[in-house]
Amino acid sequence: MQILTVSGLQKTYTTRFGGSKVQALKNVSFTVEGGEYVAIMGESGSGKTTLLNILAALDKPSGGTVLLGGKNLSEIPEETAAAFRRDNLGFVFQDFSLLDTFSLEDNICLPLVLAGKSRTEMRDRLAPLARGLGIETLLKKYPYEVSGGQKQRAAVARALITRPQILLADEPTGALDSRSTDELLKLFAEINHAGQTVVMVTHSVRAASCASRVLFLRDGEVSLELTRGKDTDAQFYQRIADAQTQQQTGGERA
Amino acid sequence: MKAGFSPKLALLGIKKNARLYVPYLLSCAFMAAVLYVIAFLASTPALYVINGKINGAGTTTIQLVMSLGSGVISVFAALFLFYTNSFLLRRRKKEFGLYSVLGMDRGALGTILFWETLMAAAFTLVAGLGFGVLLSYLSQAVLLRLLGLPAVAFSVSISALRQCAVTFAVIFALLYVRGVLSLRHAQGAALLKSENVGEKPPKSQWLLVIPGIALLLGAYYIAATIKDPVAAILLFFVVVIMVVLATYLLFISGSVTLCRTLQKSEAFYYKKRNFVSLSSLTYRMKRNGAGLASICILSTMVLVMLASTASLYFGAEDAISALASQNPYWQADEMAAIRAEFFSLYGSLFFLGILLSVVFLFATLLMLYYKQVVEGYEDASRFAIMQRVGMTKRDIRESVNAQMLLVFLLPLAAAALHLAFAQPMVWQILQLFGIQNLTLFLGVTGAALLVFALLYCAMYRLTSNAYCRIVSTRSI
Repeated sequence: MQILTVSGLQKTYTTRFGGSKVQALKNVSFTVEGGEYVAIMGESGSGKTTLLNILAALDKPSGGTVLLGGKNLSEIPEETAAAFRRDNLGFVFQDFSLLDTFSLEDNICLPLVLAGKSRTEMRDRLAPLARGLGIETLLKKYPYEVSGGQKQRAAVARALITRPQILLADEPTGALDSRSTDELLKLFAEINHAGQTVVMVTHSVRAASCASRVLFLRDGEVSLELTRGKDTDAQFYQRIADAQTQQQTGGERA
Repeated sequence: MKAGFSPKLALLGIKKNARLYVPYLLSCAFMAAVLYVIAFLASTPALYVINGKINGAGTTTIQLVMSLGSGVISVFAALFLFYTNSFLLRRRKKEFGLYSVLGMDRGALGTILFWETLMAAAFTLVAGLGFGVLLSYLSQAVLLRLLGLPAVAFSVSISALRQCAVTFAVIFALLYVRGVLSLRHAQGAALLKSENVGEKPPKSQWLLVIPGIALLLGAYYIAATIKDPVAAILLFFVVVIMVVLATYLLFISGSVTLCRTLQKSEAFYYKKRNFVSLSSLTYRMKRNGAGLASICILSTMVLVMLASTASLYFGAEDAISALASQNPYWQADEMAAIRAEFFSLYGSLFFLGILLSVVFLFATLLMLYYKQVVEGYEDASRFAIMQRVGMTKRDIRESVNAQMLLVFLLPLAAAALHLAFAQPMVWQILQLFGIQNLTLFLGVTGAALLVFALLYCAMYRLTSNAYCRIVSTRSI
């Protein structure tokens, strides 16, 4: 089943003092199946952030459509966009985006509190999730008391607790050391294995090689698509690295 | 550095921080205007020579009261401007950090600060003294009316202008020195870092709350049960000190303890309405408890001052006739002299009461505004995160309003409570001065409280709106 359908997406920014226009997305089309793990790679300025903002209903496209679970994102009115985001999308950010006035438990429960869920339901959802992510003993701690990897796991818990249709990750390993990076990527693979659809935007070939499919974004267009097939992680890593080199040195477009 | 560059950067800095700088400049100008008015009234000969009948005693009374007032205002202006200026400095740290990363040394930063201070001082003196001259004419008319004297022509007092200019030159010089000193800690990269790192959540402090409650109840009991005017005067300062102590204890530790207790109640805490507000209030109260307690005490002081000086003034006639009936052998000219004496004292006290109330109230409200706006800038990133997680603009508005209402309401409510319990004591003391009209006293107190509350509400709306704009416009 297709969960996400992006077709002919365009986004043009006009600079503040009028005049010059910047086309961040020219023509982006792709689909994501339920249970898939897709990585989107691209250089700075390739339109990754713009694409992610539109997928997150934080920004409106200038043209084209995004269907999430059959619903057209640009038809969602501004007032309900936040609620839609809360109920259908889970976010993981490079900077963790945890609130320092909340304990990890409260940080994780925040979306449920905002959705008006009961305390019993919060507990019921939190317990298995925390166990699965290995942060049960840290729940009463505050963000500044735990390591970067632990913070990111709490952020993943917060993203998953609403049981979103898609987990959107924006450079989730960007602020982590290599050990925490490995742990987090393993975690993502497990989550995906359990059936969660994951879309991850990243610079890192290492991170992308864990996905089942990789889309390259260049100058506002999908320039190349790689599918894992029967590759091992190492083989897929090599193919992605080769493709990236080719992309960056201006090889032919696929 | 190229000549003319520093003043340009200084002006840019002022423009970029308009939301904080405009109220700051206006309050500087306002303080200068009020100081001029008081200095003018203390020095103008118009008040004393126009009516030959006023004797020397009345003149010195007014002058004494006014010079006392100008002393109070000068000190208060200095403290207040230091306080508001510290908010500006805190905001500007990042900007100065950027300049220093771009290669400006401390001397160059000092030059920018110098120009900035100079511009602020120039604005304060020109606008403040201009406004002060207009206001002085108005005030003189009001004071003359209060004293029962005929109006006089418009005039400007050079000595008052000089006094004002010197006072503010000193204040601004001190502000500049403080700014330069704070730059000493300005190490480029450190300055660019964000304002807050993780902080432990404050703990409940029952050990401070219980003595706070005990002190407050004790003070209230003494104030409410006092029967003897002389004892009232003797105990007045004891009670004031007890209340001040209790207010600080309860605002600092009591508010945090209350927040923590509420957080323990899961049914209450894990509600959309309370969750975000309560957790940030806990931190906010820890940082702002002392400030809010000061605001509460200042408000109580203003209300007591206003109510008692008004009662004195409006009750003067009663006091005079009471004296006259006790001394039936007084001659008409003796009566006139006594009447003049009474009105020059009570009239000028009442006038000073109004003026100081306006100044204190203005300062109180501005302090609240500053605190909230500065916190808004610091909270903006937190609200950005909450929007990502699914907080709607409406949720933000509601949560901000709830927090803000508490921050504004708490000092006002506590001040009203203090005032209610101070009533019997103040009334005993007023009776010593020959005031007998209790209804008048209560009415005046009620009116003062009402005006106070209305202005408070207006400021609450204004601040809440400014805060909301700051936290919700930041990009996600």
